[in-house]
Amino acid sequence: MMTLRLALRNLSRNRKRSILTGVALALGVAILVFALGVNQGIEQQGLDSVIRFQTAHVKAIPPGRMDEDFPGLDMRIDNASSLLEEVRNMDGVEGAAERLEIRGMLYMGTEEVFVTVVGINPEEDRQVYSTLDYVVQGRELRPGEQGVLIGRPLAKSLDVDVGDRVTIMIRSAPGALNPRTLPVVGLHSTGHFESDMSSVFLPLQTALDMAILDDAATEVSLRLDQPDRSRDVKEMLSKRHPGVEWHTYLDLASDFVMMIKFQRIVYLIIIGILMVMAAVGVANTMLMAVHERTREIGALRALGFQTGTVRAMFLNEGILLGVFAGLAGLAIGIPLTLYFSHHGISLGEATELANMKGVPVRDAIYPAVKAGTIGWIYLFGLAVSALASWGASARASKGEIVRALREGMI
Amino acid sequence: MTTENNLVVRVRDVVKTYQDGLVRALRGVSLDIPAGSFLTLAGPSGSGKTTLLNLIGALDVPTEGTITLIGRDLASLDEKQSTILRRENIGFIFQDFNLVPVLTARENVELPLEILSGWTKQSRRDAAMDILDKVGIADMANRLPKELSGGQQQRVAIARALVKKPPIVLADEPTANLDGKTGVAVIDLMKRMRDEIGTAFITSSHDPRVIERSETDVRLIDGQINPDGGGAIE
Ligand SMILES: Nc1ncnc2c1ncn2[C@@H]1O[C@H](COP(=O)(O)OP(=O)(O)OP(=O)(O)O)[C@@H](O)[C@H]1O
Ligand SMILES: [Mg+2]
Repeated sequence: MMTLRLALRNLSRNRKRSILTGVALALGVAILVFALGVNQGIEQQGLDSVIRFQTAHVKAIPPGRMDEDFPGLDMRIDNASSLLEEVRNMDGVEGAAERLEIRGMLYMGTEEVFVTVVGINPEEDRQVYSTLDYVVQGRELRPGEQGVLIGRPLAKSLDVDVGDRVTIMIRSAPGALNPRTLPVVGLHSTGHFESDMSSVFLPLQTALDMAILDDAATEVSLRLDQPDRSRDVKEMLSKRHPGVEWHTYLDLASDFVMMIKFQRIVYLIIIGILMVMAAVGVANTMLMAVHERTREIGALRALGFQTGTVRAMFLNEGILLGVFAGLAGLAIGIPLTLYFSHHGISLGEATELANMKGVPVRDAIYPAVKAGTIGWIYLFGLAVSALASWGASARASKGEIVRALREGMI
Repeated sequence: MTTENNLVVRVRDVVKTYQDGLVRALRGVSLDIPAGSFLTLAGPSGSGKTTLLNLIGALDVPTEGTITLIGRDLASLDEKQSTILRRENIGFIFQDFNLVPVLTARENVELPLEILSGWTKQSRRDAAMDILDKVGIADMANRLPKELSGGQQQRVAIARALVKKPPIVLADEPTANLDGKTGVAVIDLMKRMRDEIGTAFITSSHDPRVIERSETDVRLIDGQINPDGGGAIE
């Protein structure tokens, strides 16, 4: 009680220095809240986006298809609709969809580009994927219609508008080239530059017709209630249907997961450096305080204060500094992070670059604000402050009383 | 006559050397101090006054010889025990006051009671106000040390030393940082306190006005007690 009161008053005694040190510590805490928020935001949204646009939670693909650079229709899942029906009705499955992906060409006037033609059932597809939520011009696909949805960046580069007709050519399953001219019914813009440039969507039936197939898919994908169960679901389905390859998003997005892990290490290093800097500041302040108060310490010990009590005085001072500076840090860091978690940190031109580097972010990052993380950061700041004052408090309680009393007089 | 029983301090053949014996600060000092004495250590600078006070106050240990404080041999105490002995039995007054700057006069006076058991908040406060009243600065109880003059600060320090009514108060040059008139007033105050409370005061001083007010003075020269007794100063 007494040591706490003394600590509090001593902190305010050298207000400028306390504030300066406190500001350093507070900034450290604030930066941590923001940086970890951004990091968690990237992880969360990145993974979410990978799942929503690429991997789903669990998916079945034809064996070996993933290893091919230009997989043909010989690698496919036949009777896909019965598999789809089965998995759709499983417990814990929120939605399921089949897709038929075919490498092909798109022609517009004299221009030609490689595209990935994706056959989908719109109603079904949006249970698993979000692409159809990002139709920004025209309208989305209707089941069975003769029409195509292409990416806005692709449309721009080919100077195509909604309503224009484009020719799409694929190699059908029997092997013949099969062109078809279709109207562009809408443009999608998911924010994933690469896929917006290369993926075009047709109704599944139209794609099957062009491929001269009856009931086939190149993937059957699942969205689960609980993503954590992905591995279990995969294990179970692999046993039940060994004829296809089953993958979870964790396998499929392993690059991204690796990157997250690497990024965490980088963050840990940054945190370390920041906190060492703050700790040096606190330690320095506390050592100065001990030095200035040498004679006072000598007097207190002469009066009969135990070394432990003297030590507690300084330790409390450091901890109190940590308490206040930490709160100040949160007071800066949380609103800042909250603001950006609502408004997003726009990446603008950098989105493309980030996507190319394998960071599947959309055009803005929304930092996460998690109570748990913030709690840990606060405790961490406190611990740093306490540890940094430990040495000073040890110095304060050591040494001869007689010398402490004399030192002041010199 | 003094008997062994009413001695608060008994110093026997004490030697204190520093720097591996190179500096001989005390060379065989023996001294008996009865309860309720008012004793002044006189002697030139470097004669060993501070050294002797520190040894009596259990702040340091003699190289040779024994010191007995209210019946206890200091050599038999470990650090913790001597801390407790000081806490319960000795008041200290320093040349430069050494009040805790962030505490008010009253809080400074309460400080020694905070580390003693059996004192409630109210009883500490009452005792502090009582002793501040006795040293004549009760009206300044809520001031910080920096808001007090040197003489007033030393009065607070005297109150702090006396608040627990210890058998012994040690004061190393308590008037050295005060002007002559204030110094004399402080010495008179300490004597009055001795009369009221019965505490033995052991002080050191260069100041002739202080020494002549003392009842007993012991003159140290070169780490030894001058056999001719006290009196004149350099
Ligand atoms: N820690 C120490 N290390 C070395 N020498 C010391 C130490 N403390 C005191 N001395 C020496 O011991 C001798 C006695 O010193 P002391 O401080 O007791 O004298 P004093 O009578 O109090 O002098 P003053 O009137 O100047 O305060 C001096 O020669 C001093 O230099
Ligand atoms: Mg001295």
